[in-house]
Amino acid sequence: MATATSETGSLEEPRTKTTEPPRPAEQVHVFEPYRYALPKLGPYFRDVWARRQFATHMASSTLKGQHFDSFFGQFWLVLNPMLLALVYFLLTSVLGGQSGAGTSAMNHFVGLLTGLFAFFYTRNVIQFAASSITGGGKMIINMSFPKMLLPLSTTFTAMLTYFPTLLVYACFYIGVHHRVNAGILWVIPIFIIQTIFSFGLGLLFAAVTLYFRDMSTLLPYVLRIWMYITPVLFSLSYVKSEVAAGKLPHAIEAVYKWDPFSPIINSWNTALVGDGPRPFWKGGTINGHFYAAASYTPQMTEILIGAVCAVIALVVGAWYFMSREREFAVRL
Amino acid sequence: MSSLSASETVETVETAPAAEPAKLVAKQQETRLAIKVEDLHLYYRTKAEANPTLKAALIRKAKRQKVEQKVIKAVNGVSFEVPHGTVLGVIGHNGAGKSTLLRALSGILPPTQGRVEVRGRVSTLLALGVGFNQNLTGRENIVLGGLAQGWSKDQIREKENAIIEFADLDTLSEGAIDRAMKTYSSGMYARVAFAVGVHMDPDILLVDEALSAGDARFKEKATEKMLELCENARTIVLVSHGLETVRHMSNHCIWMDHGNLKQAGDPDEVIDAYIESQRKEREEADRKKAAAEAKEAQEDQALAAKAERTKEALHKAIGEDV
Repeated sequence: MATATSETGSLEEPRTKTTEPPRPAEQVHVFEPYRYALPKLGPYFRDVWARRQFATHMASSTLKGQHFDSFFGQFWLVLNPMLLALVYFLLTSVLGGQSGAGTSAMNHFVGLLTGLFAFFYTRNVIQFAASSITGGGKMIINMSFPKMLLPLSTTFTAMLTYFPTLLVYACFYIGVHHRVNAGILWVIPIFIIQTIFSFGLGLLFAAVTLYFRDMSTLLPYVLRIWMYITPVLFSLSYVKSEVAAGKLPHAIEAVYKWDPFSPIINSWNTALVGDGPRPFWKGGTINGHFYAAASYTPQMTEILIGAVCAVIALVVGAWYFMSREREFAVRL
Repeated sequence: MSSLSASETVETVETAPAAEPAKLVAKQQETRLAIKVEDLHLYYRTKAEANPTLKAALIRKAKRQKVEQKVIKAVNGVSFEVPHGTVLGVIGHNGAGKSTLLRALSGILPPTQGRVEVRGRVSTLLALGVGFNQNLTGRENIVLGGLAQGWSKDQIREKENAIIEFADLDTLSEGAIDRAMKTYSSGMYARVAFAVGVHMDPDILLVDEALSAGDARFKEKATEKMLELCENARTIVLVSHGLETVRHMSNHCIWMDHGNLKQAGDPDEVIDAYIESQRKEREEADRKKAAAEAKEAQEDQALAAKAERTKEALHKAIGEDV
């Protein structure tokens, strides 16, 4: 079958003898049979750009419409992750015995929030995106537009959900840490890398869910397991110290090392709470091993690996999504 | 529904005779074309799985059986051209492929075979309230619906008042435009959705049954608006079962029948032919039904006669015995 073309360009119509007043540049759309191939990238992204306001507006409207009939309303955006964080705090401090009492417990709690909130963001981006295509059926079957706008819009939704929690986090952070290091500026590039990484995976899962509907049920479990093999509940240095002390098997360190999300979240943790085995580590001995005071500058290699993983995720996700999106309307 | 990729086998591809491009207007060579459809085929594939369970799927896998796929030919070799400024009515029975044709024109469904060329900004009214959020107010949804159609916020802001005025909800319920749309009646919902669709100043408007929504007064208003759009050299493709609407509004008409283009031309002629064929079909069905009933009655009679005969024979036999 022939190639897929859907071009939007300002072409002069060849065989027209126009008697009408001149009209603005005309859009010509040609629809032909397709195979799995990427659409023309130029017109595609021009169209995405032209409809960017739709993506952002839909994101904010979704949030606006979400909790509007509950008592706490928009407050749930913050309440939700806080309650979850509390659950994990109890889990790690009761079962893991990671925290002491008083300030140490607060340190642990803030350290936990650091990774958790960041992970919730990625989780939301992926989960929202995964249901964006199957959930946007009415729109897809009745309107022609670049389908990438739907996962893009849900990514904005996730972002808008994330920012208020960051504000709350900032309050806790200042309350416990009392000061801010210059290294904190690293969170900006790390956030961008994390967003690209999550969006790429979101695109992939959005398309996969359409072909394999069971994914929507499976995905929450996959994401939850993923959280445990990423330095979210336990920092990388903590795991290393536990492995060094022989309390944890070496396999766990390998898992943490090979998880593509690990470098991103670890850099994030480092920039905020330092790279010590505990949050805001001031240095000292654990189990006979001496550890130097925490540094708040993330490692360049980790950031680079994270960036490469993000680009790979985006390219693979976008390729899979875009080469199949013409078929979405048929599949729904 | 399954993929339409070339690598997969389609077992029932019969080559339909490519219909001659229907000449809608004699002078079409001189007019600017808005839509050009060349030998359009659009098939759906459904898996006719009698037993869609995991167990059945595993057994099939083990036996290396394949699920039989049924190909539904929604549009089967249709060609036509529509010049700018035409209101094209599309009629046909349920499942004739009208809506699928419209979706192919708007680029939503990729053709299985053939080519569609559309020139100009397309706005679709295939379903009402696409992109709307029930929890938001009518006013907010006007912005959302407009953005969904590909317009900028500034463009929408310019038109917002005209849209609200056109939807005219205040006469139905004071201040309804600032209430959540889930409190709307379906007619009110349709009014807002329709108002957004027609105010977006499209070159080509594709409408599927949207006019059937709303009460008589709004229908009238909608019809007026559509006529106004046509006068401004807009192109409209209108799919409808409301034959009188099509007759009144369109200046050309095509009749779809089982995915084929049965007739094209003047709306009056096409619609009359369609009505005639419907009448004939109905008569045919009636006749068939009557014939079937007669046959049944005959069979009943024959059975009764046979029973009677057996009974008599029995009586006779018993009588002889005695």
